[in-house]
Amino acid sequence: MLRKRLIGVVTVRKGWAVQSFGYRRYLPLGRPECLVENLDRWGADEILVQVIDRSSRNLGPDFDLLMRLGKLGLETPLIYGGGITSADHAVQVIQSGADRISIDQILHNSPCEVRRMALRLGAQALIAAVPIRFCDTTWLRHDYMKRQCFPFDDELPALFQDRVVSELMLIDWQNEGNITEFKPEQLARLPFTEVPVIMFGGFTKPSLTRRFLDHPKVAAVAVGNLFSYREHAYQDYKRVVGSVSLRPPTYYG
Amino acid sequence: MSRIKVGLIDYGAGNLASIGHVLQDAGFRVRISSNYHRLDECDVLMLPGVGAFPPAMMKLRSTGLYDYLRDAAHDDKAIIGICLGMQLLVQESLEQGYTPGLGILPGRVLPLGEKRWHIGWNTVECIGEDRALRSTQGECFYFNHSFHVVDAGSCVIAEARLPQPVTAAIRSNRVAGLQFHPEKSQCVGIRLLQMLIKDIANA
Repeated sequence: MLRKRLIGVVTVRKGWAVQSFGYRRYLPLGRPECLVENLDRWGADEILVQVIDRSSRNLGPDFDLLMRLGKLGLETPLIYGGGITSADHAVQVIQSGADRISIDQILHNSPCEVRRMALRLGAQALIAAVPIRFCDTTWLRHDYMKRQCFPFDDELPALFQDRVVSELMLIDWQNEGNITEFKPEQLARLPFTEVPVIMFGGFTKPSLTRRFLDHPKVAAVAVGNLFSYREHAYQDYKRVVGSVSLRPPTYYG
Repeated sequence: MSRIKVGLIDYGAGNLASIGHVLQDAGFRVRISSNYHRLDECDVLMLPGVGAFPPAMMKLRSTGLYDYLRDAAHDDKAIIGICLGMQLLVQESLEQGYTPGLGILPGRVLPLGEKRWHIGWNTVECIGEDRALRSTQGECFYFNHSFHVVDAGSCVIAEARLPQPVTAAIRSNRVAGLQFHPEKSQCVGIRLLQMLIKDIANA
């Protein structure tokens, strides 16, 4: 039986792993490699490293970080997001150690380039990361560069329809670091059909995480801040979530 | 007794450093190369792969590794393909149109169909008596693919379920393929790699 996933997230800003609050306030945590190594050791289902200031600073992907992560010999699937603006970037990120990539701005700025990525890497390597708000009865996507919300156009649904991107990560950017205000019932309002969804942003309550994991559209829930301060934080959270759709937690050593 | 040397084939379509580290931690000597002479010195060849079938086959042909691998298989060299690497071992693929594969093992690569993606941890059920797969019967491994191998006949040694059966592993004598990523499947994946590489090297 295919299991759903609990993804451990490491947020990186200015080269440091940070605890993020709504992408507005940050507390330093330390070297990203240390947090990634913890998640690997704790048997996370996947690890997402999101480098949140690469696109806004026009720096491209953080290949130095990827090289350092590559030296760790990770035995856990790694997703990288941050600064990917071309198919060449995407290929280089995969060859540098990531197993999948998470993309945001390029989905809307250059969907043709996303299609080129899929031709070279396969759609299973691509995750569409979309910061999002639920307003009245409608989902709006948030463009963090323009600092505005927009309704969905036809481009993103077309990328899923055409098997260019495999999963959609919905980010409750306003409540990230807090408690999400999303509800599973709202997923019925998404302008996409048959798209596996990853939920991220404010999933601190195990009961809410379990409710989302029980939803047929949801393939994974991603959690960040909770896992930064205690040994076995990941496994303990998985145990408390108690969802039968997840792999059981594993305690090594 | 000298350690088994694994030759990781570098054809520009994979995360070689990562799998190299994992193999070293598992106790193997590792050589990453596209040079035939260096690969000949290895006990087991490993064909990794992340990406799409047609560009990967194009790289194998342009580097001369297409002929090298077919000759190596003919000469009974031990070869293990991982994920896309497993798919490249079979006869053909319909990903992005028709592309012939290495043809070392029977089978075709087709889209998954209604379940478009197979992403995540899934239970692998061993079919038959392969010792390495039997040792990890019923364990979960990490999958990440949208095309799968069909028509591999008696070479299929393991399946996963979506719920329809999906070929998880194939093997004929000293050539094997794993659709999942053992190098990303944590302890159970490393254990399987250790058993499979030792088994196939000594077969």
